[in-house]
Amino acid sequence: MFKNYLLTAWKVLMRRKVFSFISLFGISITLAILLILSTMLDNFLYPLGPEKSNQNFLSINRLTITSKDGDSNWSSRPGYKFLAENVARLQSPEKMSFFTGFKQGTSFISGEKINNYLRRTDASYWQILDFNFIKGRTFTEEEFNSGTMVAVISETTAKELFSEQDPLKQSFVVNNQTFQVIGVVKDISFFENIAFSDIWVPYTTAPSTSYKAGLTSGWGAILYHSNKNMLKEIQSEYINLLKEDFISPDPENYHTAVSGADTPIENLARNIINSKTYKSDADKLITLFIVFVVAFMLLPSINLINLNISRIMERSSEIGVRKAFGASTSQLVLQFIIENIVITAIGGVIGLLISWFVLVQIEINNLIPGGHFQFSLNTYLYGFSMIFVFGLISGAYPAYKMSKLHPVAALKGGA
Amino acid sequence: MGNIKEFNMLILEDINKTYHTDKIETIALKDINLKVKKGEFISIMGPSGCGKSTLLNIMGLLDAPSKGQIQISGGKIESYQDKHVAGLRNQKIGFIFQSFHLIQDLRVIDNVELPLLYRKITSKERRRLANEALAKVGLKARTDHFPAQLSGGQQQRVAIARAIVGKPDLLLADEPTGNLDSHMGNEIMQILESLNKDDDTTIVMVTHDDELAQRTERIVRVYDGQLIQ
Repeated sequence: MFKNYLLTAWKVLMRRKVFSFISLFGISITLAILLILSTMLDNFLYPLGPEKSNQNFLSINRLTITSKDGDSNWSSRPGYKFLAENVARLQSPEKMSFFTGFKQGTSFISGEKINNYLRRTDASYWQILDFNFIKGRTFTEEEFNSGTMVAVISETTAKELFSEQDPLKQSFVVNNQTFQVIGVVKDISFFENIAFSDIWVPYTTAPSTSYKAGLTSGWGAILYHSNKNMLKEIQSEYINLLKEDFISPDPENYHTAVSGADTPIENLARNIINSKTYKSDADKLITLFIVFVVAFMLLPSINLINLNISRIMERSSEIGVRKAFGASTSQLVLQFIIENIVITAIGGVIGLLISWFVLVQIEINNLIPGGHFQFSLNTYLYGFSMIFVFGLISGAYPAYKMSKLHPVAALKGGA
Repeated sequence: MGNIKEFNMLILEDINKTYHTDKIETIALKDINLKVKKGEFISIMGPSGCGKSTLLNIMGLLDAPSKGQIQISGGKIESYQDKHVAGLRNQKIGFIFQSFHLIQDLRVIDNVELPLLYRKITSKERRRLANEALAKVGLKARTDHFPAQLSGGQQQRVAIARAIVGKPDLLLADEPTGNLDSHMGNEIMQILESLNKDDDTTIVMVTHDDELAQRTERIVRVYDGQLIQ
């Protein structure tokens, strides 16, 4: 029986090649785009690089400061002063780390300008994040405290700066400062935006101490606990601290601080939705995402529904015959839905191949620096559930219409 | 033989069928009473639009009567619920249509197997029964052809094989030779006759062709939705 359904599905597909092609194309492209997006999201939420322990830490990378009269507010990454005077007072995290965002770092190698990303961090940064060292080591607490001019660089940067030579103990100049290489790590995916950079140095090596005065400037923090159930406590301690005990250099102009210690999805939501409250609006983001996916899938579904209805009318004689020879309505509906799921599955497999091809191209051409887009089990699950939902949505209504077809009318060839 | 024929394969009692469209009521069949004995071969004749096809559809449980009662091989039809009548059609009735109604995408053998798909039968057994039915209509060599590769007469033979593959109690043929020339029509008629004689199949055939009707055991005439016997 099932084999017979598959056979008919294939025959139906081949009967009107152009229409089938158009409808398969729609399905394939839609699924490919959704799969690419979900792979990226998957890479962001479940990174494989240094941030793979992201279930155990929260990040602070957005701060909104409002003046007492409420007339002006600033929203940006937090500054060192804010972190050192406020975040540093938190009791619940086991470890915390402060670091700058990645900024441009310029070097000259035999007269040629090389741009890299440079990030300044503390020593605990390396304890919380799990970098994959190819060579050497990271900087110690002592080196950090004394502002020793040492650097960890990425594999690609090592090649750029020193070609084939061993980079360890070599010196190089970036932004007019000379550093000695003490470690080389594997390239980091752009999606791991806390770990990502090409060069990492102690922030105590900054050319001036002016960074210490900034309340809002390009810094960030991570708060770690080995028990991930404790993260909720850290979040509420942080919010309480801001609400009740915010230390401000100028309480008139910088009166209230709104921020949150976020999980990766909350972090994404705070940046996209630009929440200016303590809440990250992650639920809004998820709703938005679902609405987007459904709307995106609706278009090819409607197309397929249309195509399916005209196909049914074309096949009314077959439906009449099957009914006359004993097929019940539910059997026919099942047949039709299976046929449709087979057709969408073919489109889905093509979509899967397209998305795989695109992701490989993105990776090969380094369109997203350091991105590694592996198809994880999650991606397959997303993919196949999307295909299934797709087949169901676009098959159900036409099948319902078909079930309403009277056998006598069907045999006469029409509704 | 005589004893077996005493058994009524099909009984129609006071069958009425009316169609309602907006405000008009059309009476398609009026007070039809008819008994068809087991192993009988009857033909239904009448002018176009007299209700022959409606009558055949009601006999074949494709359509429900507005009033009246049907018995097929001794069992009253109590419900016209889809699942119920679908099962009865599958077990008890075989259809042959004027325009064959073969599924063009399926091979001859798959077309013939179709009624068996809705029974709990292994695929091997299905294949065996389908081959047997095709042998009966003389098309054993054409199992892997597609309908479009066959002549009209051959297509109708495939349709007959499909109708008899499930060994139904009742064979209903709606102008089975209507789309064929007289030579092919004669061939089809011969097959129906041999099914009737050799296998004792009960056949009800709607036809316009007086000559063919004369070859059946009994002619039932329908005029304006009523029987004239």
